[in-house]
Amino acid sequence: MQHTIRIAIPPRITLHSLLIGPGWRFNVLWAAAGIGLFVLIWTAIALRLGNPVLLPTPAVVLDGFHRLLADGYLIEDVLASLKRVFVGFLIASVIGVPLAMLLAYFAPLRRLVLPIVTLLRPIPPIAWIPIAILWFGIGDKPSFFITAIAAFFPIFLNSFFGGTSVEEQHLNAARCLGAKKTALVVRIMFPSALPMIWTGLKIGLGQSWMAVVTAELIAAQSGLGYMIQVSRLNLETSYVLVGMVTIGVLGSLMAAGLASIERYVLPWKQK
Amino acid sequence: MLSQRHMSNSVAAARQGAIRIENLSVEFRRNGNATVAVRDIDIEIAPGEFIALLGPSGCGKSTLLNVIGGMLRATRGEVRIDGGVVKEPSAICGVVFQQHSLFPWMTALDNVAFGPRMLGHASPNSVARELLALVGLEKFASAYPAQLSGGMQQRVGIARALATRPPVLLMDEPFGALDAQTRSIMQEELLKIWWEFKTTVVFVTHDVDEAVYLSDRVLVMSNSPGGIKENIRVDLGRPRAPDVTLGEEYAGLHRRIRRLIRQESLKVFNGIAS
Repeated sequence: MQHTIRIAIPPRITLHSLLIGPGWRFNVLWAAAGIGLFVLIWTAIALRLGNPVLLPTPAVVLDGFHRLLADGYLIEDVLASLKRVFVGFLIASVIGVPLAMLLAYFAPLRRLVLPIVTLLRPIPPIAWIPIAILWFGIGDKPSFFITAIAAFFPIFLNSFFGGTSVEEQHLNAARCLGAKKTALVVRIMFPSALPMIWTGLKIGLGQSWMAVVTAELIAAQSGLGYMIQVSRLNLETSYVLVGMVTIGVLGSLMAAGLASIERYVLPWKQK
Repeated sequence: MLSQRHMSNSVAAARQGAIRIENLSVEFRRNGNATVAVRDIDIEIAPGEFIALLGPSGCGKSTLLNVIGGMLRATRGEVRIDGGVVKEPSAICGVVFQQHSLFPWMTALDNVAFGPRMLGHASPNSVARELLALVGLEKFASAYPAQLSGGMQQRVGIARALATRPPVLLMDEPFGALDAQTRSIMQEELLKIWWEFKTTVVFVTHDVDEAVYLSDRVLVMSNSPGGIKENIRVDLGRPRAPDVTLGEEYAGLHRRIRRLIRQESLKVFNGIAS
């Protein structure tokens, strides 16, 4: 296809683009240097403080990491948290995206439901925890509820704005080709909103991951949040930090995972 | 090339593409004030006729086209296609827009197959392949619109509009965004395709050359409010080669229409200046 015109898409600087795109070797070196510098400063402060309960050195944390990994506790907690994130995220997506499409298409429904969403949105996931415990007790269920709440709003709102910004001309073109209501929503509005929906899903997964830790601090007896909470009570600060680092690393991996499948979700957006 | 089977199918259909516009007016309301976009329009278009709607910008020619396609509601009067009143957009009218109307998330093939798929055609992809071949883009079936040039996008747009075999094809300045060379090639291609399909065409343009070269009849529109100022028959023979633009007849028609358009443009120009 020598006639193909390449369109310029402004580059977005993300960790993913730095590590995958051209010059990635160079960027990986910089990333390693940055993390190395961080670890060095951390070590210096920890040694100067000389109190492992307040701040253990990275070496001690690494040691704790090995021990928890060998015990199998860490894996158990990670799996418990991941399960809660994915179930909540899935619930939020399954409700949020179709609801957003319906409201984007049917104006009367929008007037009815949008005020409710606007009122509920400012309530942070953590404020739902007492209600979640009352309704669902302690364990997986309240955590599903909290992660779903956290993921729902970014997913719903991005999808909704994606849906309402569908081009009138595309809807008219589709009608003139024989498309009826359902086809207009499913085949025109949904794909034209998909870039925004995808953004919502990325943000939603991040929010959900942050919320699971919050939920587990209070409403669960397993998972990374619970592990951090118990370790704090036992003054095992190195385990607290193991939990925190694990949360950071897994969150980044999830974001990178989504970024790496983007080209299959939005093939027409690729260069 | 299109198979004989498809051609005979379209002939067998009862729809012919006769358009009858009666006493049509469109008003827009803004801040309580009504602006009349087009007023008291009566037009009759025979099946298979190629009509150019010509006028300066702002004369309501696109408004009129949108009403014919059911995309806009008339304030008074009605449009009938083969006797049926047009109430909403449907597959009776194929529409080619000025630009950016292809679905960017679909490949060229899927764009063209969309109509046949919606209408429950047995093999939408094979219909789409035939039409892409007709506009010379069979090699670009799997390209996304953003990967095609403006001219190619419009060819896909034409193929998509024709894929449902509409009795009426509405074209809203379809070549307006193209460079002069591409545009004249596209005009020739359009005439060839139309000759094969014999569908009724309403073609909106502000380009006098384009209107005269393509159409059987030029409807010159007057400005504010929009109406039909003159109805000019173009007897330049069919099928038409680009050479007709060199003849005396063409020059005469061109001069006459240009004068009419100039009067209308001046009306607006002076109206704004005063």
